[in-house]
Amino acid sequence: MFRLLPLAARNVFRSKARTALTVGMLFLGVMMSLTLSGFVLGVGETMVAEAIQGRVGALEVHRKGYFEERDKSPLKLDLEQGGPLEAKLKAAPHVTGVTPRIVFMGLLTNGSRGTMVLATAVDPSTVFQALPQADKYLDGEYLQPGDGTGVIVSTAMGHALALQKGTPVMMQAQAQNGRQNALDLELRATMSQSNPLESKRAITVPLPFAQSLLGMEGRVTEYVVAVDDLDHLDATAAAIRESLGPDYEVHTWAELRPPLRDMRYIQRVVLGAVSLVFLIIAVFGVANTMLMSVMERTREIGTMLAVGMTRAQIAALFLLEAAVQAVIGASLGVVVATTVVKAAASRGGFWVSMGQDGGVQQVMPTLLPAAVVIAVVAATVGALGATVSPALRAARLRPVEALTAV
Amino acid sequence: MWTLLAMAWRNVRRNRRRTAITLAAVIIGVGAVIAIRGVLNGLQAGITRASAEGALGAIQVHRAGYLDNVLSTPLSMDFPIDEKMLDTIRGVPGVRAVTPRIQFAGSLTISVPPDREMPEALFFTAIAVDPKTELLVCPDRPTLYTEGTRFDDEHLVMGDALAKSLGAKVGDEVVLLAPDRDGSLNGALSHVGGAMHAMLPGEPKVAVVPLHLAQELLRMDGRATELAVAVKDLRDIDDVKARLAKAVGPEWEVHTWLEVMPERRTIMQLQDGIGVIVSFVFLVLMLLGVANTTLMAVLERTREVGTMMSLGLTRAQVLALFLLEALVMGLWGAAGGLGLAAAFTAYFSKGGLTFRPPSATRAFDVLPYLSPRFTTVVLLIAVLGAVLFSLYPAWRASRLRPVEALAGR
Repeated sequence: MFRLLPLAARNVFRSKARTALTVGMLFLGVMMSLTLSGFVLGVGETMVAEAIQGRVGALEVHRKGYFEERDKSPLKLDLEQGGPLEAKLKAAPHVTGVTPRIVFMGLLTNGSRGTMVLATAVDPSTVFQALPQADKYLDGEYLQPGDGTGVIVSTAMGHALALQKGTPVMMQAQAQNGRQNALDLELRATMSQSNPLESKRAITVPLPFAQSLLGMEGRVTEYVVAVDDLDHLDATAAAIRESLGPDYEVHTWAELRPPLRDMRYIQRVVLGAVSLVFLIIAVFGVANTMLMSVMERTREIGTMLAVGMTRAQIAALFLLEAAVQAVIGASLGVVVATTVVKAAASRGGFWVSMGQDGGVQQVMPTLLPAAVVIAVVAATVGALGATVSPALRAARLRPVEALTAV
Repeated sequence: MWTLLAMAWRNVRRNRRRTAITLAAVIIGVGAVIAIRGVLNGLQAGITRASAEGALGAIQVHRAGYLDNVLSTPLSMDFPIDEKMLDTIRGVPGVRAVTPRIQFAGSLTISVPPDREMPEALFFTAIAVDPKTELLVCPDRPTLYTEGTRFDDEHLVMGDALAKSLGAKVGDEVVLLAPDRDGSLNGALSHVGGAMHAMLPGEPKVAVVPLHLAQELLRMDGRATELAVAVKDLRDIDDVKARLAKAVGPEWEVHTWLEVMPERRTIMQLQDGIGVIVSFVFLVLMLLGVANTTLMAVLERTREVGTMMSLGLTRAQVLALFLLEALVMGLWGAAGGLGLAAAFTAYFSKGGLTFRPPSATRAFDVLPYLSPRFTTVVLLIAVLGAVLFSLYPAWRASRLRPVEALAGR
């Protein structure tokens, strides 16, 4: 077998035109499917990364029962801010940041008209530890520690309420004790992201503001937890569940944003199918050149059989030639696709404009290691599969007839 | 020429195995490209239908400036429902029907017997529609309702998230509260008629209420904030919109559903873009396969070319022969691919391809169909491309020197 490999490698470089064709087909197939998947999966991966690093967080911790009732954003199921709970979260393995939040519904009014909003109250001094990209897409300045009256709204909401930086607005909401309460806010910035999966009614306010509006001093409704590596996500979630006990619930981003998870899944299935067709077409090309190669080298095969090579060795030789070409083509494809995707990503990816509100969505091309492995393996296996029939044909030649062939 | 074509035909059939391999690649390539477009067509028709006939209406008419402020559901940009205006709109060629609506926001809760705890009031956004004329504009709207839903002047329909949060059941009494145009809060009573599926999760809590009720609640008797217009043929929507905008004048803004929901337009454009790239790559790979085959045929048949040349075939004829072989292959492949794609679409256009969009709460059926223009272009590319990609190998064959070729060198 190992004696055959150098022979196969030398044969591959003997007929340059034919090798170029075979390698070229596989190169194109692998390169195209990887580049395409890099760009298309980039859409989903960017949205997931933004959700984890900017909005949802990797993990969220609530009081037991909150998740069931979350459509109501129930303020009664609250948690203590700071204290032993926060300490336990920080002590969990792989946790890199923890920040408290209150999520509540209310009415935002500019004096003449108002609209329903979904408010997230954040602690400006710790929010970036858990959500480092919280200020991505921001036009203006993020809430500063000590700011008690700032608000960030979506660009569309800013239009709807005719808000400028510094415009006073009023937020009205039902406090924890059931009474209606209202307090003044000032616009600090607008958020130009226009991700169709995120609500345009989402606003961000400082935690102290929400606590005094809702009568919840020292209380919050959730904790956002960041982890160092998403591979450890499930383990960290389990560790936190264990240390907090049954009175709390811990959810990962995928449980909190099922549409995001589904979108990622569908993209992968569709791309898998497309890549499969790419490879099938490429593999037909390989089958064609290998068949040609066998026919052209009939005399050579006869000679090899005559000097004592077994039929199995002949078949193995052709399979090895196909494998060598597949590895070369696939590697070239991986290199080019990686270069293209990296180059696009290092320039900041693409900004897709969504709609008329000035909304944008960044797309960062991403090459998943799994996609690379699958493409290379599929190309190699496909090339080998395509060569089985020509190789068997070569192995079954009769030495005498083969030697006399033209 | 005819002799050459007959020869090309015979040559293609001579090496059956190779022809079969190449044809398979072309058929799969052409078939996949056409079928993918067919599925995209069905998907986009589904989105269009759900939006234009099920929720938004094909065209919406508002007071100028309304859409910029739509998130705040401004009631002050309202207008009296004027029969003359409605007649003007109905008179625009291509318009099928028109119906008035009010978009508003408020809060609601259900009133329950004393033994049950009264749920907290929830904020919601509502679209108030006329139970009868709405069906002329959005005939598909009831398909979102859960089974047994009743929607009339006495009953409203809640989004399922809203109904679930309130624990509302059919027949429960509902208390609605909403600020009117002047900002003072008013109340009204109605009943739960049923629930409806949300198209997108994360949509704020929504409800469909009878127009009559909204007019009473908001003190807007005989007024509306929106006119939804149905068109006879969605393909003419842009022309109808232009005519409509002209007919109603500059005090009004006229938008198609794509302009109201620009995200959906972006999503469809992305789909189109990816579809074109995938098709392009499929076709190029497939045509390279054809070039490959022709090149091999030329290399393999060097002696044959030499023979033909010594028998008096001109270089142009040799070139033409190989190109014709590619043409025959392209024609067969294109026909096979078309057949494959047609079979695929025909099969799924009956049962529907069940598809669950990432952001929708329920699956919907995609009915793929072929668009004649796209299909024609792909078939032409396949056939002409096969010839074009074979130019180099065919040219190489035509440059052979008869004596050397005969010697097989």
